[in-house]
Amino acid sequence: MALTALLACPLVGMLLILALPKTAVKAIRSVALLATGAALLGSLQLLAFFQPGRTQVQFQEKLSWIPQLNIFYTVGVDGISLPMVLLTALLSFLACIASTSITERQKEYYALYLLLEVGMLGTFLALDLFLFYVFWEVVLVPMYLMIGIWGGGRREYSAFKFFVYTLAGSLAMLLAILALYLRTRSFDMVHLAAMGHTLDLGFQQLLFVAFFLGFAIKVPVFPFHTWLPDAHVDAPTPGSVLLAGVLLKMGGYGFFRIAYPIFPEGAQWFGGTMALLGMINIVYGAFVAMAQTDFKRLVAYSSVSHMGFVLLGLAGLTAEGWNGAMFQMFSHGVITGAMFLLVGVLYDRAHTRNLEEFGGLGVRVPVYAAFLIFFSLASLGLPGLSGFVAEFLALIGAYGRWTWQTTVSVLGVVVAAAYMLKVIRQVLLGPLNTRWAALPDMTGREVISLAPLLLVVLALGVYPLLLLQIQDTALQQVIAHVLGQPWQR
Amino acid sequence: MDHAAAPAVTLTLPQLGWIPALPLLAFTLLLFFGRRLGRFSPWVAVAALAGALGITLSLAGTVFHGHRVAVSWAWLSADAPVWSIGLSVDGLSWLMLFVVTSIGTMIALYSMGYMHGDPRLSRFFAYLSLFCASMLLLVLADHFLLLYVGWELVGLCSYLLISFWFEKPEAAAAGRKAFITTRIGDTGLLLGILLLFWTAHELHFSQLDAVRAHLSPGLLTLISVLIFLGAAGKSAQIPLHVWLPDAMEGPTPVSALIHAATMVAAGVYLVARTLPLFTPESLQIVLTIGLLTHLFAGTVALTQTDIKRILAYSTLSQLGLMMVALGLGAAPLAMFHLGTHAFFKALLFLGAGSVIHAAHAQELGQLGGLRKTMPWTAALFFIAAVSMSGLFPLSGFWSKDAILLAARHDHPWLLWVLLGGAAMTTAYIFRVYLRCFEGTAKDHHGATPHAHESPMIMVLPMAMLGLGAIGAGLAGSPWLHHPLFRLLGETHVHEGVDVPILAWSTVAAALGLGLAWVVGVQQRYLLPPALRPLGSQLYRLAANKYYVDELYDRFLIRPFLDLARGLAGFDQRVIDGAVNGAGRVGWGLGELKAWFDQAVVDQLVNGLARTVRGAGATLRWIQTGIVQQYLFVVVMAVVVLSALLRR
Amino acid sequence: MPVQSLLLLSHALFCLGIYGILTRRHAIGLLLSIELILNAAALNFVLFSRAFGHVQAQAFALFIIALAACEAVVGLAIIIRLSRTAKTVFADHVDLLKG
Repeated sequence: MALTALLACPLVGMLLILALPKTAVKAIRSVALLATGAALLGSLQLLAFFQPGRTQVQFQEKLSWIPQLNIFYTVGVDGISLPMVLLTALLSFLACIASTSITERQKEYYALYLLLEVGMLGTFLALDLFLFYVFWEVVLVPMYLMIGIWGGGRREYSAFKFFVYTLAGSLAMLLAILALYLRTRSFDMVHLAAMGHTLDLGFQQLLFVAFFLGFAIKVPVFPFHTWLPDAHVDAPTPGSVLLAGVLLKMGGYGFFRIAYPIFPEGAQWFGGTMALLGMINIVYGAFVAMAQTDFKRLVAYSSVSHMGFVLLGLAGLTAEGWNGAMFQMFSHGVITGAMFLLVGVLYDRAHTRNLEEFGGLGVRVPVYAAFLIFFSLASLGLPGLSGFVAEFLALIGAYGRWTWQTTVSVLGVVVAAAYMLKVIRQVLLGPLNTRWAALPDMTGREVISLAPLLLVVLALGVYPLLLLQIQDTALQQVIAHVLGQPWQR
Repeated sequence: MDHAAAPAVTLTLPQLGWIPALPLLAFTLLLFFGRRLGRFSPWVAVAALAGALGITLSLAGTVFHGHRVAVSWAWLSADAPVWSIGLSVDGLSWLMLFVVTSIGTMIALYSMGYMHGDPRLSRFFAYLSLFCASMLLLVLADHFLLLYVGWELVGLCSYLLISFWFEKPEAAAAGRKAFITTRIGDTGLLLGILLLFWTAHELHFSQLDAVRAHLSPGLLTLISVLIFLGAAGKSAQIPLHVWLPDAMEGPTPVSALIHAATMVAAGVYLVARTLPLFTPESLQIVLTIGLLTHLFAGTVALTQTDIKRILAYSTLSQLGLMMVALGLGAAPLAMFHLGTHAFFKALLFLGAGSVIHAAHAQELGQLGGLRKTMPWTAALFFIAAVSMSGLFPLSGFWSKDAILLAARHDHPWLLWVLLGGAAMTTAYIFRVYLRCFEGTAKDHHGATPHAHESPMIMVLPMAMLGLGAIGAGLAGSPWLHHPLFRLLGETHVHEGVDVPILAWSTVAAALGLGLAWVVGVQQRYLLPPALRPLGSQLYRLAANKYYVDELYDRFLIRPFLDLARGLAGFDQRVIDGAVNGAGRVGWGLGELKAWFDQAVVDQLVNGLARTVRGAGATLRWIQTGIVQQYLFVVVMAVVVLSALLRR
Repeated sequence: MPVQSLLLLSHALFCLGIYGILTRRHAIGLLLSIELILNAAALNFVLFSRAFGHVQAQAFALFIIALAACEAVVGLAIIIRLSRTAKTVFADHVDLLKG
């Protein structure tokens, strides 16, 4: 019951908030904090009892839900989903702390926020395709409303674009799920994966492409990425954090959990395209980020670039590549989450995100400067921080199979340095722009919301086995399965 | 170079970790408690570095006996041995350790005086400690990946320290330039690592000889050239040299430590470390690049007027010389020169820093006659200059002559080119010395009247480095039976002093000295009048650093930024345009459907309703509501029906 | 008395009733006409009872008399309500069901 309890934490919180009066903002906030905090504790508890060496799904729960259609409520975690669950719980809690910038309609906001967390956790926990799809769609609505109501700029446009675009992707996925069901009469992911090799190649190719569309839009893969900068820029800070930190990972997670194990031959057939798209994501995203003047937009495009490493590592189909891709999902979630928090901190004070209007803040706000430099360095892949481990593993894993794509991707690393240092220079260095002479430094609450992320990035960079040993067994097994060895679960 | 003879016994020694850990600890302390420590913060850094120096010295005995000291642990994978990283010390790395910790300690001491009163004093020493930690990690690494970690971290510290006075836009720009330029080289190193992993599945330095036996020469050449690309970025070799002169925007102790003695020498160390991977072809490339850099930087150094920039180009030139030695396959000679160079070049920089500290000027035109007010600095600068010129029997002589010997052995023509380079070296360094410390004091900018000797805390470390500049070379001299080369594993060294080489290098130095006096100080024309226009053109070319920066800006940076902007426009217009276009098409289809609904579907429904209503309207006259009429109809119907149904 | 003529009498009575119900405007008149029709029916029952010797038919005549009383009561009640709400007792003035 551990996983259901985990899911119940935010759900109960949401119901409580709905029962509270609209004016009791403090109570609402504390309930939300308690609920997300409980979920975080729950996920840490999972980590404590998780056995990394075991190949089976752990903490599994299976209840019949719609017996006529063979649909079950199946949840469980293994080395692939546990890091994502941890990431979700951590970012949800920290972004909840950072939600003080929301000053209107708090009751609706926090209720939706908790609903969002239920959806995200559920997506990573579900082991039944139908249940997965339900959670997948549950995520969409609160995020849409969050951007549309509490956003800024062209928020209606961005929210609409986000919603329709991702919905179009999930439609392709739904069709594929139905086709798969009609062929196999099952929604059970583990069962489907076990019979993956028995599906004929044409069917695998078709369905892989359909799932790819669904996941690619979420990741997002070039050329399906343009919803991302708009949505990120116009979303409120916590929304951006969760969008970049968790929602993008749902796409990547889908590849690990569904697309690769269920369609092994289709995945191998698609590998070249995957590597090519990964390369384009990395280099193209980096170049476009270089040209941005809006801080948030720049970070958004850097996400496009960094998620390219996930694709590249996946395409490599080696233990290193997959470990790197998975590591990148976690590490990028943490780093970009922190970057968006930092952008939010600056925006709350300066009410502008135009990089050219800053300058010399390093003197004025030393604590902020330290955090910004730290996370910028993490983002550009400085060794000793988590981003490097991920990128290095993804590159080395993909190099053998996709040599020239990987070689070109390495260029993205240089460009990443260029744009991140551009941010540091434009915001922190140079003579102090007198307009910001009275800018206050970070408050205690802001530091609290960022410090855990800093520690995670540092710990994973120095001792990556912390995460690698959780995910390694499961990943190795899936790769072995994809490459043709029998399924052992 | 004979690596096979090196490791006799491998000891496991966890204390090894303390060498980088001590400065790292200092960094952490200073970062969090720097403000509270205040004036005492420099001592934390000094203590950590001295501790690291102590451990290094304590290892000396083991290392000199030809043992390897190693400690390792699993890093990227719990079971794959290729991903277990570790630290190890052999002769090569011990030499680097000694250079880094000893010079680092001296420079940290010196910085106490130099940075005195800076508001970010503790931050400076924090960065300095972090740099030393990363540099020591780089040196101790026994695995390509760990070396890469240290490699990037020293790049970061270099960035942070160059931009230390970040309010100056030039400093901020210079730091960024340094980081990005070296990172371009680093991609080469990274690709080399990737290629090595996929071809040999081995990344430990101790296994490189085995790797060499396995791989084809073509592959080895490719790998080694890629690795050399990384080395060239860090050691600022052509064409990646542009960042080093700009890096002089940083505080002078930083220039001395990072951009003269240690970090820039890391490229040389890397090539020396991975020399088993280098094939004759790739060594040829190393030699060519090194030679080009040596000469190119030497000519530029002759024409510059900023003393720190002259020293920067001099560093480039000397690094080129080390690369030449590596290109000759003589890694121990390169490392020997690296060691002596570290001492005299650090001393030169500290001397320049002392001048800048005292006179608040760094243009040759604004300086002069400082020997009277700053006797100690002048004397030490002189020693360093003589040492760099390679005059017998100071440090520089031994290391430079060893390289000349090796050059004569392999390519006799190379000897003459290098002698020319040596003459240039003497010329530019004595140009600096003569114009700074000799001659008359200048009134311009109020420079010299205020000048005074630097405080003890700065002079003392300089004096220690002076001792090194005088005596460090003796370690490689035949007088002491080459203990250094035994350490580095070199077996075939020249016994005794080679007199012709000694004579030639003395002549070259004297020539350079004469040039410095006549052209540099007296400003006399030596060329016949007919050649003067050509001479002045060449001079302008060199003075403008051969326009490399301008060329890069024109042909690399601007196209790069244009490409970025172009792609951003493409993203906005074409890809997002396509998405919005698809949205608009959807919207248009919706509009069309709405029109169809209204015009056709609704019309059908409405038409039906109208028909029914019309029929109702015509029939409603029947419905009078008067009961009797209904009843009448009923009665009539009954009558008619009964009439009809009558049998 | 022959059955034939008595049948004629009841028939005439019934036709008078129908005529009255179709032509009278006053509601009381309608009620009276309905009485006539009912009585024609009762007369027929008595007539056929005598002609065929069935006693039960006479019982039906009695039923009809009782029914007529009830009908008169209900009818009068409706008429009183009508005169109160519609302010009229004429049948052709009440055309609420007009379409």
